[in-house]
Amino acid sequence: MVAVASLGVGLPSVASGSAATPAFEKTVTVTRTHLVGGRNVVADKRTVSVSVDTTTNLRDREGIRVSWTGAHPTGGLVADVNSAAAANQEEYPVVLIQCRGVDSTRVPKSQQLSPQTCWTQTPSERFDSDYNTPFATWRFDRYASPQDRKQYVDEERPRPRACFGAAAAERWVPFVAADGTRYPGGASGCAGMPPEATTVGSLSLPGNTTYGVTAPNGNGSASFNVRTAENNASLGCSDTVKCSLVVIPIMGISCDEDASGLPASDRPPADELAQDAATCSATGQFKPGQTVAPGQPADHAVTGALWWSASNWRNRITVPLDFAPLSNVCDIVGNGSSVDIYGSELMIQAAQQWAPTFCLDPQRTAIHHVQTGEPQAANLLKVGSIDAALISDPPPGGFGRPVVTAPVAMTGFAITYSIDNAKGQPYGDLKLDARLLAKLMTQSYPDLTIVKSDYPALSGNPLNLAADPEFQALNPGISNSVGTDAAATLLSLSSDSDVLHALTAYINADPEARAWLNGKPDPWGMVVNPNYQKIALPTNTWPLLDTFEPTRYYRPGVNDCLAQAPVPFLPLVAAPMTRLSYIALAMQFSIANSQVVCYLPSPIPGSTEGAKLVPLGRQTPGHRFMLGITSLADAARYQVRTAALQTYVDPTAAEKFTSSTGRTFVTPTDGSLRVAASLFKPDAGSRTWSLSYDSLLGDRRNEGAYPGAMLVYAAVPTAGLATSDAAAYADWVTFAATSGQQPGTGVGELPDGYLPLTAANGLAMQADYAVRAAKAVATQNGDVPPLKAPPGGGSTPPPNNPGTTGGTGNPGGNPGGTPSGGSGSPSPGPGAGGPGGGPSGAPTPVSLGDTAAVSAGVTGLILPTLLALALVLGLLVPATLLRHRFRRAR
Amino acid sequence: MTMTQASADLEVATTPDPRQPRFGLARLRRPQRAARPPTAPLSPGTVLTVWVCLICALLALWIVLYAMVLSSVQESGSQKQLFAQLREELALGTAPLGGQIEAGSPVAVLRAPEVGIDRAVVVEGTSAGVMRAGPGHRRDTPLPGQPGVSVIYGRSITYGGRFDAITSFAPGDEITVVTGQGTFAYRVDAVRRTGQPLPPPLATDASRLTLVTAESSGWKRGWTVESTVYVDSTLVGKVQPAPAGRPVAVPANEQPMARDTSALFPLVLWLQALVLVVIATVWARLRWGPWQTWVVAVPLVVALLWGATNSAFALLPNLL
Repeated sequence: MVAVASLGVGLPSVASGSAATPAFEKTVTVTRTHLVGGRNVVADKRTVSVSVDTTTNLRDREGIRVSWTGAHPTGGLVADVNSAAAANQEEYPVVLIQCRGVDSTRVPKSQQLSPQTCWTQTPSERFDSDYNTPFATWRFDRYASPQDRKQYVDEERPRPRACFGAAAAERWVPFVAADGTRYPGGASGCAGMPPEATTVGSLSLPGNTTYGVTAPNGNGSASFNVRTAENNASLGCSDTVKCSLVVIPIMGISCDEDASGLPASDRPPADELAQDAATCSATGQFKPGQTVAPGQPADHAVTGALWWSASNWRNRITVPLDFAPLSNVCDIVGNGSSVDIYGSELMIQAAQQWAPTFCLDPQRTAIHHVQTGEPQAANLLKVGSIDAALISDPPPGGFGRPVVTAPVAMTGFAITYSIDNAKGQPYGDLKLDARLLAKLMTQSYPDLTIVKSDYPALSGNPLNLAADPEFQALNPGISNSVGTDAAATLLSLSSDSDVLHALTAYINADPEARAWLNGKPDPWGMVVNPNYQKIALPTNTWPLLDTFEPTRYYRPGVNDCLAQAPVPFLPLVAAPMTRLSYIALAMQFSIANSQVVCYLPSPIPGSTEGAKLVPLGRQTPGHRFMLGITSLADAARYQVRTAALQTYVDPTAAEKFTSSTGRTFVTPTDGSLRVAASLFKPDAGSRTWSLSYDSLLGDRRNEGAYPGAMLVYAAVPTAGLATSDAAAYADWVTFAATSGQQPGTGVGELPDGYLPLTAANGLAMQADYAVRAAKAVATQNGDVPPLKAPPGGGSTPPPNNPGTTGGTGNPGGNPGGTPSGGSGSPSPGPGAGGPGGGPSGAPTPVSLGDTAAVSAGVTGLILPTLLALALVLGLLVPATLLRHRFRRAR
Repeated sequence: MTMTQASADLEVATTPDPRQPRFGLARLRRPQRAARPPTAPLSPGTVLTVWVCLICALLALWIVLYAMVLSSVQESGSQKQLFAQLREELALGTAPLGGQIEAGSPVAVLRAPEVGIDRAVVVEGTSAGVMRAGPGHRRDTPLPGQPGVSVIYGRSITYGGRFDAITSFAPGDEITVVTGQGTFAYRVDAVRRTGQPLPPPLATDASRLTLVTAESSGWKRGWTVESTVYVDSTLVGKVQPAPAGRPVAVPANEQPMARDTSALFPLVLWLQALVLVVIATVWARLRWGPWQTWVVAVPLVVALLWGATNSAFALLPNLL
């Protein structure tokens, strides 16, 4: 009964099924062999197996999972395995690094990979210096060439002034960019580093070089984030420029302990030699699994900082990577002609993967997806500014012109999270109910103790989500004292979106959440923020309503920015973003957006010159806590964890619960989307399908349905389009509903995060309707086909689009029927919309639908009301006086 | 506050009877009841009730009077001014032709003698506030004579109610529109009500003029609005080119039957002024003569009441 569907981590494993057979597997034997007195002394020998889950059709920022066994256990753990600190502190990491080129001597030199074509985000990862001795550790590397064992290797000459004086020994590892530019690097990148590299910066993306941790049993895994030329032009990986993932299990430097490989004139004196050799052959300061201690340096010879040394580089395992066409391929090599389709961000991944099918085919017209909110796209389509839109909810008044809504994808939204448990490990099984979402969205967590004590309305509420006993009951193992402001909110959208509509419809349909929003405290006593009490849902735009300003916090020295320019506090914590894709990026790298940090650029202490509020920035691994709204496809592509949402609650389940017993939580999987798909009911009026949240939440048989499921429609007019544009849209819609529904990672296939529109998934009706709708788009005679196919394929019933006024949009240059002039053909009157209309045999005149009702409401009756009022009141005057006199007279 | 002012006017100027309420109806009743034995004092509750009823009834009557008569007077004044302005612009060739036109400026002259529209100056914009000056041209549609569907809203009752009779258009009737691009003749296709089919799509080089107003049936006819009614007409002759840059959408307060809540602000200001004048009147009445106060206060109060009512009418449906 508990948590039926919360098994997998998310969609990827389910949809691609790649977990069963890894795309790449290799086993190598790696050794650390010192050279002592001319003899090989094997210090360490291990057999390492590496497997990678996917290596083909990779796209920018996609996460791939790398696992290994048999490696040396890692000690000196740091929080962020993508940082320069990890390179210098971790002992025996498994270095994952993305390099341009192929690991083969059979290709031209320019296409071979080497440490010089491997990407590191910080310059310190490709520079090593020793101030104490000219005989740095790497000079004892027995496998290094004599060239690489000199006192100064690859250093820039003449020495740039920014690099100051040279250390006793320096090893530079320059980076060679895809265009051939050589960036020498140096300490802090003083001699020049690629533009994508950074020295610091918590608001930027972290590097992808990973210093993976091996557990004491020799196993380990990491999610490696591949980058293409879109994100990193210097590295320049793409479908045409080959790149590889290089896995280096660090074993430590294999030392030439006698320095016999160094020229006789350049050897350390005998007394120093023993000490230097010992430094080189050191085996580590930390026990496996031990975290790094402050002030205790690691043994340099076994850290990942020397990944480029010959001893380590020779142990590498190279995984060839294959990239999908870049998402901007159509801009670069497209065949020129293209039409735009505006709207839904849920379609970003599918549209990108489908796009090359069209733009690279000279016979087809490319479709350019312009990402906007759905209500905005629907509105633009309504007024005729655009020709096609991707939406999930038909606009309330219809489009005012004949428009088909062809289903093109079954997908939805996910509540994604990046949360570390009390032990600092990523939490993987988050369960949320609708009430918790409502609490986060209504700014009902005070976030700061000052707010909690000074804001009476929220003084009884837990500080943030982590401290909420309801959250703790569902998610044991997460610390209940989390410090970040991001734990008090759900990173949401500031723009109008059908995603918000779906999310709030789910919250609205949940009896517990709705009761709480209406003012009933939850079983633990938490109440809704009064600014949101009784908020009308569902809505496609989420307002920021709280106005409280904690004056004790808005003081100089505490928060100078807010002291200078006070604004309501909790909306700053919420800090919604304008695009779902921005939220996906923030969630992927745990970049908290709450705008509560006061940045003081002035170097003068106490000066508030130029002070401004900035986001919290990237959260430290081990202490991450943030949640956001993401599309399912983005969550799948970027491997962001998705929360299980509550569906059915057993009547016997405790109201004040201490565990998830009796409550069902569902993660987004193909299976749970399939159950949800069966709950989409056709609506003949708007020619769409809508999800019945009441039957989803209130019926045990539907407990496995994912409540975030959404259908996406292509809304395209069937009158007024130019013939070529109409053909292009019809082609795209047909493709989207048929061959585009083949799951896969290749061009023209359906990426993870979408449930194919097939009969097996119970979506045959939608696919069939999309094909018929595409035909109507192609013919452009104003037809809007009904949801159910006409049995005889006979007459086309007139569309039922509720028009607004009398066709206030732009003229639909439709040659189908010249305006019926003065003939004024008598209208058949309302109610002639049945399928039998138009029996006259001749081609039925094009109809745009019927005139919609516009009512004045009660204000239209104001004059009679006032007159009646005047009469009644006027009669009351003499009546009162008469009554008075009558009483007096008695 | 209006009550205090009015009662002050009616109050006994001589020594008040201590048993009588200070603001009483005694004065009003005295002549009729002169023959009667000593006047019975009215309780304060009764006095309050009577005054509240009286004032409210008068206010309601005033609003009805304003709606049916005074607003039309105001509208015909505005129309004269707008006509003069448009005439000058037409003569100078500066009349607006398209693009972004400031709301409230005159754009066309409409004539349809068959339904009693002799000369109506059409203004740009369809909010209830703008349409106090005359029929409004919907801003997201082209001007008459340009390709596409032009939409003009007109009031059916208040402010002249110039479109009150457009439902009596017969197919074939002519509507003449003068804009900066010339004179255009439209031939009426049909009158269209809720539920009737929309007119067919327009050819690219054709122009349609749709007049919109409201109507109601039965006893409500002529002083209430229930639903919208449309008159579609097609241009006879050639269309003129349309300059680009028209708005693509209009806000909710310019849709049919919409109310213009932006009028709340001036309304508040008018009411504040009214309160001040009433207080001043009471004060003047107590320290000045009744006739002097009357002479000064009445025009002021009526003017302010007029302004306040005019503002308040923008809060009613724009087709009323």
